[in-house]
Order: sequence, then structure tokens, then C-alpha cells
Amino acid sequence: MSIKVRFRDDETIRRAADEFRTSDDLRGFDMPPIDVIYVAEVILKLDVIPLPDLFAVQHKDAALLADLTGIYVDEDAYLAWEKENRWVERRLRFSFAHELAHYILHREELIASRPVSTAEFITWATEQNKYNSAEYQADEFAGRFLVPLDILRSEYDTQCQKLAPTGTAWREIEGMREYIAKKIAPRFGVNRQVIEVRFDREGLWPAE
Amino acid sequence: MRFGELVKSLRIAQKKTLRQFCLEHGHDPSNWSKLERGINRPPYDDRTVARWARQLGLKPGTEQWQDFMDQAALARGELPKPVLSDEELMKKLPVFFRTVRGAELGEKELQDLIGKIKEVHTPDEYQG
Repeated sequence: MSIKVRFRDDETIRRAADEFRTSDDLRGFDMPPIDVIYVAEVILKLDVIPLPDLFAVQHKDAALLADLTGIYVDEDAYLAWEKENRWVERRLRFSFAHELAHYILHREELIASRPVSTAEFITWATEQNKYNSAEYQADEFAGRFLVPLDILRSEYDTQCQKLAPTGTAWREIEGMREYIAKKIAPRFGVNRQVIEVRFDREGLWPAE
Repeated sequence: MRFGELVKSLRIAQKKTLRQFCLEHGHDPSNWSKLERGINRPPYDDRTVARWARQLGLKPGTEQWQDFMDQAALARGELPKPVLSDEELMKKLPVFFRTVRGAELGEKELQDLIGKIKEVHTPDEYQG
């Protein structure tokens, strides 16, 4: 068995992310860097359950519970955030936003697809080894939720203005896209790769 | 409202995440999570429960304080939460849409993971 989700186009996903971020419930917590753990726990009242070795075994920092009552979080990553490990904090922020995306977008599909035995779970988990549409949708939601387009554009424009005096071809310099993404990423509390993906998906600076 | 739910609602009323609350008061997040989810029962030591009440913003002598202490006493008297049935376990399994490249799972790894999931939903008093 596998979890199949219905097709949602990019605009639909982005609209859902924008609507969630600007909803009344998130008022006061809608500006980046968004505290997604606060959103999950205090606003949505989900249980956050530290789970040992989630990352070691699954290479995931977070995973939604099948009954949608909470999110498992890798115990080490959770503790690393407490110790102000910024790199882990940024990774965990995206992972949580990704799980919230499944919670918001894929509720019906998840409820309909819950495994009925551990044997079925094992078969199902070992089959889930391809990047699929559910993951794409959750990544797109998480990206737009954490990196609002208007603020990304503003940050990008600021960097452009700073670099304009160096000549018009600065965007062609090797490594410049990565450099700018790295400069902007802390504003959103995410790692540089997330900004590079947003550059691409939002059409600001498509990948080669 | 059961004791664990009461503890969680008081923490959330303070607008604190599990991580923030535990960091501030020196609790282990995994243990506190078990308490809030009603997996672990509160201790028999009233002084500890009173300290928790203060940490959760309650004031001695108020009705809320007394209710908190009463709920703790009731929870202590309950039978420990039973080990997860297979049906309950299915609800608590994580949703994995994919494995990350290089982390393909075998049956052993998944069985280990299922074991850890059972542990976080099992009272400490059942564990060795």
C-alpha cells in the first residue's frame, strides 16, 4: 500500500500556505523567522513527542503521528535546538513546517491510508523510497509558509541594490546565487538551500 | 479534565512550548511529554507536585491550585495506563512518505523504531 494524494497545483499549495500564515490564529506569529514549534504546540495544540534515533534511523527530524494528534521530533535535534545549535534549528524549522503541511493538506488521505498492522507498516515504510507528489506538495507548502514571497522579494531586491554598483553581470558570477541565498537565509531562519529552492520556484532566480 | 491534560493546558496558557517550559524549569522534555499525555502518573511527593503547580503559574490557596492538587491525587490513584494495544499502536506510528536517499530502511530498523514508539507511549513503571 502507499499513501496517494490528489494533485494540487503550485498556486493552490502556495495559497494554502499563505492563508494559514495569515490566519487569525497565527496573528503575531506570522513574521519570519516563524516559530513553527510554537505554532504546532501552542496554536494547534499538537503533542510534540521527542523520539530517540528518529534521525539516525530515518534521516528525518520530525514525523506526524498517524492519528494526527502530534509530531515526533528527533530527541537529539530537539536538544540541539535548546543548545542554540543554529544549523539544527534551521533544519528542524523546515522539517516541522513540512509535517504541518501534511497535517493541513493531506488529512483526508492520511486518515484513509492508516496501516492496519505492523507488517503492513513495514511493507509500506520500506516502499516509500521515492520522492513523490505528497513530498513535493509538503515541501512547497513549507517553503512558502516559512519564506513569504513579498519578504523574499524585498530581501532579494536589497541584495541586488547592494551589488548593482559592481556591474550588471554580477548574477553570472559563479557561486553568487549560493552567496546571496546564504545572506538572506537567516532572515527566515532556514538553511541556504531552502532559499535557493524558493529563488527557483518563485521565479526570482531560476536554477541553471 | 485529566491531570496530564490539565498540565498541558496550563503550560499552553503560559504560551510556552514543551521545549521552552522544560528548559526554564529543568525538566526532561521526554518525561514531561509522558506526564502531559497521561502516560506517566504524577509522583506521590506533594512537594514536587506543588513545585510544578507554581511553575505552571498557579498560586497557593486558590481554587485552581486545589483543583491541581486534587487532580494529581486522583491520577496517582488510577491504574497505570496499559501497554499499547496493536490497534492503538497503529494510530501512533509515524507517517513516512519516503525514506531519504541513503537511509533505506530494513525490517530490523523499522522494528527497532516501533519498539521506541512503544516506549514513548508506555509508562516508565513498566520499563526495566
